[in-house]
Order: sequence, then C-alpha cells, then structure tokens
Amino acid sequence: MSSERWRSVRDRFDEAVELPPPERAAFLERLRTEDGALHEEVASLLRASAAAGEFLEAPAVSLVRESPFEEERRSRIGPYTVIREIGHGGMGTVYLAARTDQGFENTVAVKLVRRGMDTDFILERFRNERRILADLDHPNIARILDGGSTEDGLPYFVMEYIPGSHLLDDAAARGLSIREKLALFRKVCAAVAYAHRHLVVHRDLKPSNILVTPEGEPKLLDFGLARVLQPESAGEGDRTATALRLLTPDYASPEQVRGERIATSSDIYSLGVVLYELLAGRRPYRTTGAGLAEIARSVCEEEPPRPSTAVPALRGDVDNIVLVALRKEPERRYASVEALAADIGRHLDGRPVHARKDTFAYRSGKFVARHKAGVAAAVVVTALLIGALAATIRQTRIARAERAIAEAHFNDVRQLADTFLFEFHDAIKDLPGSTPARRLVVRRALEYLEKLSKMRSDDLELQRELAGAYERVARVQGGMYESHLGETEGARESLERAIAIRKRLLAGARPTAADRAALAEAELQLCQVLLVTGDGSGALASARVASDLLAASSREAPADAALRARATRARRYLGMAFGAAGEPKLALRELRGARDGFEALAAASPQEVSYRRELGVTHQHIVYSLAGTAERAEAESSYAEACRLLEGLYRERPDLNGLQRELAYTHVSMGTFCEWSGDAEGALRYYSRALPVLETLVRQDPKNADARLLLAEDCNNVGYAMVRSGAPGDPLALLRRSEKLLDALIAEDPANTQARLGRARLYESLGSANDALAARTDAGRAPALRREAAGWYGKSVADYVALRERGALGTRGEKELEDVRKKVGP
Amino acid sequence: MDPEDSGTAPNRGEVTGLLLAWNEGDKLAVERLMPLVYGELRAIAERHFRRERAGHTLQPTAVVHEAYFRLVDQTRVTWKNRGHFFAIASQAMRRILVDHARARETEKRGGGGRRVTLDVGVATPEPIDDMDFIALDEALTRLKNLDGAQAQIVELRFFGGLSIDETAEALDTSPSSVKREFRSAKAWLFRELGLG
Repeated sequence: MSSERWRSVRDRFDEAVELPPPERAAFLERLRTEDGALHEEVASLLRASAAAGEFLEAPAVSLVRESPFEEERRSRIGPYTVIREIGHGGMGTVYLAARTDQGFENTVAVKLVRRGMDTDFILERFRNERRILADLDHPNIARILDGGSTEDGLPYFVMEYIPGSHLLDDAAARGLSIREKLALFRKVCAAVAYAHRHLVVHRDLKPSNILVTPEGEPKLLDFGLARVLQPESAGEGDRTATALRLLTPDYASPEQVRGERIATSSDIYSLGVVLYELLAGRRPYRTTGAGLAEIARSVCEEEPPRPSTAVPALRGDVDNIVLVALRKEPERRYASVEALAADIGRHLDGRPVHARKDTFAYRSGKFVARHKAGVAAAVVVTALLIGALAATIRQTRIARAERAIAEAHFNDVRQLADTFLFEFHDAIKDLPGSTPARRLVVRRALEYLEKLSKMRSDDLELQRELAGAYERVARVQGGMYESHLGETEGARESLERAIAIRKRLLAGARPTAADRAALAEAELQLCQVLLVTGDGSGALASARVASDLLAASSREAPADAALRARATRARRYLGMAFGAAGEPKLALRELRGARDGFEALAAASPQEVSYRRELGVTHQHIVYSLAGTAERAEAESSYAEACRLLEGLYRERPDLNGLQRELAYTHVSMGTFCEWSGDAEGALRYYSRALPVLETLVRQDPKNADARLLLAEDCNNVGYAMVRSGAPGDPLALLRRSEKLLDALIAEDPANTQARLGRARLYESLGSANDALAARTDAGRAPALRREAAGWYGKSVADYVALRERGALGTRGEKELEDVRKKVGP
Repeated sequence: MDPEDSGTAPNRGEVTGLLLAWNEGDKLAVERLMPLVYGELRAIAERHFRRERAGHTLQPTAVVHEAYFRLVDQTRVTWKNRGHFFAIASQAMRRILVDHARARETEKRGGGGRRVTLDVGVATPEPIDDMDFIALDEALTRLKNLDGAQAQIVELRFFGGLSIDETAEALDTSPSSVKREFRSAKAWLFRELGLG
C-alpha cells in the first residue's frame, strides 16, 4: 500500500467509524459501488477496530510478565575474564579483566559497547577511537592492546589498566605545589603534542580524561571524539564538532562552541582551561546554573579573570601563560602545544617567558608612560599603529603561507578593529595625558570598522562582530560607569550604528535568539548613554525596545532564569528612563516591578551573586526616584535593603568591581531623598556616609579618575547640606576640597567634560553656600557674602556655557544652567 | 518511596544540554541522547520490576516520567524539550522491549526459555495470549512508511505509556487528532498482526 492509498483508506475509515451502525452500513454500501477495493480495505479495518478492544491501550511495560531489565552480567569478553566493572559512560562499560590463559597477572581495561547502545553513531565513535589509539604509542597516552567482538557481536577493545584518579583529584590528593602541578601538566602537554604530531586532534580534553598513575604519570584517555586531520577533507570534520557544540562547553574552545573547523589550536585552548582549573581551583568562566547560550557567550566573548585573582601566587608569568593559551582567536594562542610546554619550562627554570598580556600594547604602553606629554604620544602612537598593522600582516603572511593573502589581510584588519585597538586602549587608558591618544585610537577603530562593513555585507558573522565592535567603541567613547572619554555624542552614534546592524540581522534570513538578545543589550547601552546626557525621552525609547524584546524572549522560555534576569534588568532601566523623562510615578512602577522580579530570582537562586546585586541596585534607584515624594517609609526600607545587600556582597566578594561605588550611590540617593524632603540634617547624614566609601576607593586607586570625580561631587553634596542644615563643621573647607579635586582632574585632562560639569555645579553650591550664610549672618557682613555668591554663580554660568560650546552640555546641563541663571538675576 | 527513586541522574546535565542542542537544530544530539535515555530507563524499569516482585503495584507509565524528572533539569527546558524527551524515551522503551524479545527468541531457538508474551487484556472478544513484540515492531516500521506521525503516536502511547493529552502535547497537535489517528493505527496494526 502506498501512503496516498493509506490516507484515503484512513479518511473513509475515520468517517465511517463515527457513524451509528445503520448509517455506517449505508456508507459502506455506497463505497462498495464506487470503489470495491477501497470498500474491502475500510470494511476490514472497521472489523479489526471493533475486535481490537484493549489492544495497545495498556502501556507495553505493564504487559511484560518478567523483567527484561536484569543487568547483563558478563563474566567473559572474548578471551578475557571479567574481574569487575570499573566504570561506565553513555556508550560503554569499562571492565577490569585479565586473560585467562595468562593467569591473572596482567590486568587490563576492556571497553565494551553496551547492548542497545550500538547505534551507528556510537559504533563509529568506538571504531574511530580504536583506530586512532592503535596509531599512537606514547608513555602518557593509554595504550591499546587488543580488540575484537564478543560472541553476540558487540565490539570491544582492550587498553592498559591505569589504577589512579583523574588529574584534579590526584593533584588535590597529593597536595601538589604550583611547581609540581606545572611539571605534571607538562607531561600532559607532551602527550597532546605527540598526538598532534601524528595529526590527531583530541577535541575532548578535560580533567576526567587525564588519569594519573600512583607513580605520578599522567595518561591521556578517551579519544572517542578525536579526529585525524586531513587537509583535503577539511570541510567534513565539522560533523562531530556540531554534535559537540553546546554539550560540555566547560572545556570547549570558542571555535568548538561556534561549531567551526577545529584545529590543534582548539586542544591548546582546552589545555589552557585544564591548566587554569588545576592551578586556580576553578574554571575560567562561571558555568554552573547558567543557560547554555550564556555559557557559550562567556566562552566566546568574556575575558576570563587572571588565575591570580584566585591564587595570588600565580601573578605574572603563570597568569600570562594561561591567558595566552585561552585567547579567543586561535591564531593568537601558542602556535603549538610544544610552545606552551616550553614556556612553562622557562618559567620553571626562572627564565623569561614568551607570554605577555599583549606584547605590542605592553611596549607602547611603556613608551607612552615615558613620554607623558599627550600630544607627542599621540603622534608616536599613530606611527606605532601603522607599524603594527604592517608587522602583523607580515607575520601572518609567513605563518599562513598556504592561505590566500587577501584573506589574511582581511582578518588582520578585522582583528585590528575588533580587539587589538581595544587592548591598546586599555593599556594606555589610565595614563595621565593619554586622552588625545585614546581619541585617536577610537577614530582609527571607527575607520577600520567603516571599511570592514563595506567589504562583506553578506557575512553574518562579520556583521555580528562589527556590531559588537561598535558597542565596544561606544563604551570607550562614553557611558555610564567605566572610564571613558566623555564623548557621549560619539557613543550615541556608534551605538546607533550597532543597533542598525543588529536590526538588519534580526530582520534577515537566519536571526538567532542571540541576535535578539544582542539588540536588546545594545539598546540598553544606548539607554545608559542617553541617561548620562539627560535625554530622558531617548532613553525611554531605547529602554522600551530592550524591555519588550527581553520580556518576549523570557515569556517564550519561562524556565530560563538568566533570561528573566536580563528582562528584569531592562525593566530597571525602563524605570530609570521614566525618571529621567519626568515620569516619577511610572518610574516607580517599573522599578518596583524590577525589585519584585529580582527578589524572586534571588530567592530561587540564593547563591547567584548578580541577582542580589541587581536587587540592591534596584532598591537604590527606588530611593532615588522617591525623592520629591512623601514616601519616607519606603525610601528608608529600600535604603536599608540596598545597604544590607551591597555590604553583604562586598564582604563576600571584595573582588567584584563597582560594589563600593554602588554603595556610595545608595547613600547619595538617600541623601537626595532627604534633601528634597527639606530634611537637611538627614541629607547631611547620608551624604556623609558616602564620603568614607569614596575616600577608600580613591586611596586604593589614586589614578581612578572616576572615583575622584565622585568624591569631589560628594564633598560638594556634604558641604552644601552642612550649609543648609546649619550643622557644625566647615562647609567651605569641603567645597574647596571638591574644587581642588576637580581642578586637578581638569588640569590632567582638559577634555574631561564630566569634571567640568562637576565644577560648574560646585560653583553653584559655593554661591548658594554664601547666600545661605548671608541669610543667617548679621546685616553688616551679608552684602559681602552676597557679592561673593554672585561671583560664584557667574563662574558657574561661564563653565556651563563653555561646555555648551563644546557640545557637551546635554539636556540636564541645560536645565541646571537655567537654574543658576535665575539665581544670578536679570 | 525508595530512597533510590529520588534525586537526579549523573547524566542530567548532559541530557538537558543535548535536548537544548537538539532544539537548536543539532540533529546529532538525538544520536547521543538515545544511549543515555536507554540506560536510565532500563535502570528505572528494573527497580519497578523488583518492587513488583516485592508486592508493590507496578505503574508502568511512571517509568518514562520518572526518567524525565531524573534526567532533565526542569529549570532549563521548555514544554517543547519535554515533548522531544518523551519521543526519545518512548523510542528507547520500544528498543528495550524488542531487543529483549529478540534475545529470548534466540534463546528459545537455542532450546531454552520461553517466549515473552503480551497479555492483551480481558476486553478483547477473543482473548489472545501470545503476541510478540518483534511482530509488532516490524508492523510499526511498516506503518511508519505509510504515515510517520501515526507510528510515532503508537510509540508514544504504547511504548512510552503517555496519555492522549501528553501525546498531543509532545507532538504539538490536538488530543482529538491523536485519538483519531491512534484509532485507525490500532485497527491497522491489529489486522497486520493477523489478529483481526
């Protein structure tokens, strides 16, 4: 019977079976005259249906009278006698066994495919492993001794038996020192290097595949996913790579995660992860509890923290060695496993290692440090950049002689725009006077990006990379938290480009869930920039898009907590944007919603640091948004919650960046609430609490311009609150301290618009302070104070106007300027 | 409840990951899922049979469901992944039972043991005692060539022990269409096995 025929039989059957008996008989009669054969089919099916009764109705298992599930107990496999089972995985069981005809002297490990798992895929994997192991003969690779099939046809192979535990357990059990761990790891490298010389890529390197014998010899196992490199069939190697994709991403390289072609450099990366875990006691990325997409993103995008953040003794060479092995771009890792092992050897011998954070950025960073004059540095940097580009192209030409030079060139430009310029930027960003050089870096990056975007508009991966690069440029140009150039206008343009690309990707043929999430993140970044400039309605528009996208994604995958957290975070920004757009009620509605969301997330995953942190920050914004309302009780409870959460986190994880800053903001927000409620004493109390936090930050990192700016602004706040409350103390001393901090910042970097804006505000405070003193003092001194106040107001206006001329005032600045102008009088 | 019933299986992360990968279009994920699910189902079913011998009532539908709860991290998957899992598990159950029947068949030909039988139930007008899984398996493969969806419905209902509603959910269709397609498939198989 054909399936078409079956369909017509079935349709008639479905029709007939519903009919009451008399009508059914009539139906069948009609059918008989139309198509005799069809009638016969339908009639016999109807009979079968009537007779079938409970046939197939009860589940199959309930019909089995005896258990088919007794585990197979094998006593013999081929000529081997099984002693006991020593392990089993998804596809096979490993037995400890011995050859009967040789006594029980030599025990071996026999790996046998389990019955029922002999699918083509598993069998192929099994045969592959047997083939590869047969070609490898190295003291640190488990040796294959024999192979065959059982009488009932299951394939097996015999390996040397390795009594011992896996790498991490062994190192922990023996209490190895860092040097001993490195020495042990070099032996693992030797095994992998040997395999690579035989054109075998392991592709599944992880601690559980490395056993260590009681004598301390590591043995590499499980070549089930390994592949023999065959240049002529390079394209088809992706099959297993695809299967591997997203499965055990903990040790997988970025190119593996992305399902790209795998070369020996992928093993170098996995070795880097193993070494990281062996030394630092944890993996480079947090993967527990994260969704797969999140893990994949971490592996492909996130820079791992230096191993020394976990174990300080690793600082320096070892940090650098591990991070070079872990570089995202295969061509920037060690060129070979031997090179990795050699660098470890150099370190053990106390000789200088080859690994550097980034040789070029390192060198030019030093150079700029020696030539502190910004202008000179800028010129030199330009020359260096051009030189570096030429050098990279030259090097890659030599290294990839077999590949098309055009491709190499393209990739170099891509790399230069995507990572290299940023690394350079990061290397120089804390140097005083580097602003012009940093500007130049950004300009160059933008030029390269422009060029790239024109080169291959149909390359989706490239388009994604470009959008990512624009987002990074924007972060350098201006944003909310990180050290940036204060070029908010430029940041906005870059982000709009990124968003345009992301939107195109999303509208295109193969948009991914990640594309949608990326667009939402770009919109959120734009929202942050617009919040800084005080463009409330713009920020609101961006926050809405981001929030809608993420809320929709989250609804589709309600079980994905990480996604829900992102959607909730977008909602927090939506609240902040409403606040900036002059909608305090709506702001509070969204912020409270975000608070409830994070509360639920934090309750469900108490170990997840980021949820508690977000909850704390959301409480802080609630306090800030309540300023101007009479909701004192809520402000106080949110303030207390924010303090409790952020202080608790700081005790737990002092390594997290920005916590102190968020805590300072919390105090400042409560101060603002009090100030707006006319509670000058409360304002003084809370603003004052932020001072020691910020002092600590500045003491810890005196170069941190951002912390100094915050400290300056808070000195201004406290001084002003002192004036208002009439509290004892010397407000003018604080205000002058603020002035000194701001002057220094501006002298270091005349282009620091945030500092200039802070100074304009400070002048306004100084004016108000003098005004307030005038109101309180005797009539004799008042006029002089008022004249002094007018002088400060004048300076304030002048600063605001200068900023406007630079195009750096923003809507919030405009409003502040207007307020000062009113005080100056007509 | 036995203490051994609770908790999660060691392969949980991998199974969950594979389900998600499959959902993202990784076709090979199925190949890797099958052995993991097969192994777990065997273990669960074996425990059920042990308890039955100890006087407890066997609830066969629980086998696939229990495997689901042990092998899949609920917080990371959607209902769609759940459907995929049930499909795999039902297929694995079919394989387990048919493999076993084949093994016994061989044994019988070799001179020992007896044939595994299906107790078709009391509601059948003419009770049939003996029917083996092998014939059903072969007939089901033929049905698959006529209509793959119908064969899968039978797999989910009979081997997986899923209810009409669960089958509908797993296949993203309506309960009424599952009911209709199951009815004609059942009649066809009954006739195909020479029972009606």
